[in-house]
Amino acid sequence: MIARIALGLFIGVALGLATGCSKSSTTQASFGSSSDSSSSPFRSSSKSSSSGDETDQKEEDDQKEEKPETAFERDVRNHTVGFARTAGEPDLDSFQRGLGAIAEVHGITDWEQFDATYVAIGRGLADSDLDVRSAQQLAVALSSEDYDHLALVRSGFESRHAR
Amino acid sequence: MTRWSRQLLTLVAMLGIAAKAPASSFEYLYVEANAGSSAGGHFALRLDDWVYDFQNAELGTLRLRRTDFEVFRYLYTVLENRTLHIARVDVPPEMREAIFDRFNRRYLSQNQQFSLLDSLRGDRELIRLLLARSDQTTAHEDDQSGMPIRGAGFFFGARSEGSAGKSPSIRALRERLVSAYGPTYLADQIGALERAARQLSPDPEISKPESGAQRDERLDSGYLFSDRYQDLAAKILALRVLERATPIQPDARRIPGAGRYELSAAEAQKIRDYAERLEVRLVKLVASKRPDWGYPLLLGMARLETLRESLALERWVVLDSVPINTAFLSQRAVKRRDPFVVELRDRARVEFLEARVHFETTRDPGEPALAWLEEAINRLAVFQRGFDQNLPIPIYELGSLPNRAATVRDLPLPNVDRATLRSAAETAKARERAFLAAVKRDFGYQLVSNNCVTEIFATIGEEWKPATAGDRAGDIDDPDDLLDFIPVIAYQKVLAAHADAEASEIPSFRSFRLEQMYAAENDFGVYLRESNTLTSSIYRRNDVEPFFLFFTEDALPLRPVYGALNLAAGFGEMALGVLRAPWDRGRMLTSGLKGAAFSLPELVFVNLRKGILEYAPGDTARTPRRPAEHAGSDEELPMSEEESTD
Repeated sequence: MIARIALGLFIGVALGLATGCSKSSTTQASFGSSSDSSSSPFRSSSKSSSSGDETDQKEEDDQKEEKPETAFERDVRNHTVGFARTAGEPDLDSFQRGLGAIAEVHGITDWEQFDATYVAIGRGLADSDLDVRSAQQLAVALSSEDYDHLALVRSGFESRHAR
Repeated sequence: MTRWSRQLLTLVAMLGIAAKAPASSFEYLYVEANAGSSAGGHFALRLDDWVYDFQNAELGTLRLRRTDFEVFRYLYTVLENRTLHIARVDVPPEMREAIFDRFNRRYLSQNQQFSLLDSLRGDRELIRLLLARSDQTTAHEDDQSGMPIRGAGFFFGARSEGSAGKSPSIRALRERLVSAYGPTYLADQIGALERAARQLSPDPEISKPESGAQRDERLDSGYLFSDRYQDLAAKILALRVLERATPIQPDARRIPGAGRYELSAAEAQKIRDYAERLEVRLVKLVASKRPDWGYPLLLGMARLETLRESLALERWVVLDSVPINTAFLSQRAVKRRDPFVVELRDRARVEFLEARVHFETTRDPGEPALAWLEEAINRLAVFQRGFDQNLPIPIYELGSLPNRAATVRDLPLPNVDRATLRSAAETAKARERAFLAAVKRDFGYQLVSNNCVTEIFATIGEEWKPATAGDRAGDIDDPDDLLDFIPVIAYQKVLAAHADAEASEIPSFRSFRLEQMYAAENDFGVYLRESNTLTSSIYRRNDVEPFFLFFTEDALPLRPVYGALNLAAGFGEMALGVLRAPWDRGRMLTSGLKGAAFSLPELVFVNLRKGILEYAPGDTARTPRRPAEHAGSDEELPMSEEESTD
């Protein structure tokens, strides 16, 4: 009997080990009440001026310096790469809906108002190794055939190619 | 040699070639084991402020997560009491960027695939709803079934009705729209969208989603029947709100008490400017070509309402962003003013002030700035109300926009005949089943071949091939590498492979506090007090882990003895659990069983259990980062300016 219990317990431990790598549910439950993790994820999006048109007054003088890519811009660029590399007919609705979901993580619902979105799309096209003609076609489609947006996509594309 | 070992060597070789290039870095993180589901330790990668790690997730899958480093650090080193070992590896900037992008793309791609799974479920639900509706000749008055539409609850109540009266701010927005697009634009658009909704039909094709779950590759299309319907419905509702100037639902906004929320003159001006810019944007949004502008428009109009009301009341009014289904801090904890409740309230105050100052001092605050402030006000307001009235306080993860999904009764439904629906129901079920199987196949967790270690290296590796990643059983042909999938062994190999790696650690909360106590107090007294869970001043007995008596992490010689006593405690809990089983549904019995199970390794000198904390008092960040070779030293040894502020 004792041997069976011991065996059962060892199996329990083995099962516990077999679920290694995962975070315990207790920690998940504590997440909401952990004081060090109680800061909003929107804070960083808010403070990264290039994720939007907002500009901190004290940073005004630094405007001309090239700023590091924000998390939002990286997400948009890589979302574009994934889309551009997809085989088959491009589905713009799917791309834009995916972009909407990504933007929301950064506290943004109206991503079309941010120049940074289109610049990041252009960078993504540059990273996707498409031939120039295909990249141009996609650029037109992804800028919703809006000239201003297209110019931003192009600037992103060229800045990436110039590196 | 395992695949990831080869990849590691390749990476090391490439580093040698590119040794003279300007360096940047990333960090391997190894988290020591603890009881529970983390008994094998954990492995992760840090890039900038983000930690990427693979975790067991729903459906038995292994999902890539992206977490802020400070959150990761707090969860693991403080709450889970697990020491974090860090190996910083210098690489050329281009290589670091490439690695960062691989993780980022994999993260986005995996999220998209799980989102597609949700859409497939949505398809099945929508078709089921349409079939049910086709069975009824007339819908019941009180029939509230339907698809929940995000943002609808800002303006439509429980009975699908908008509030009486007209909203001046939405009427003003409508006038702008009319002057921009003409007087019939709204009615025309609503008509066109309603027709489009009626004409929607389920996609009869089965090919795309079935072949969709290609590991880490984009799908041809993730825009399915239910997605299209929900987007159309949100647009219809948003335009109806505009057309009727429907005011916001009173319970959709939060008006915190006066005092700290009163507007300064500067804030009032910022709000006026923001509202003006928002109106301009919303007019453009109506004509957007993106398919999902309905929710942003609903949210934008609701925010416009709260901003105008803020100006009228001269204090902040925001949308209620507290999720409906949340956990709560207990009323008892609130009444007693437990330290962690007070600290959370204080943190909410600080967050509110920071978000407020940011909004006020930013030249043209954008949407994230408002979202941050909105969330901070909600957070503080629920704490304030809880403290004032001794009520339970909702706790939830931050980072979600106000959602307020609601079903609205009089929305047009796709006009699909019954035979087509029946066939579509079968197709939807088959597609979902096939996609689910593909997801499980491609992302299924496997202890040896697809875990948190193997996938980190699979994602880093230059030679990584999506088609074969995760199928590495055949690669394990070298006995020396058999155990490479174990986090601690992988970490040791990383250190061995990167001779110049900068190794550091963040000790667990308990071990760090013990070091401090031993330095300041009598050693024997500290040992006696802190060696067990009954008298420990660091650890508090809690419901999140099974009962045990002795900490064995720092008691190597006595570990088997303590383990035996812990085992006895586990059996004791089990015995009590048998008696209580009729009342607690076997909860205590299970807990005792787990407690006993995690005592067994201690009998053979192996420690897993570190003690999980619900709360750890102290200053942020509570645990310091220090060079690995100084672990155990009495002195705090910050490594560099950046690290000491981690």
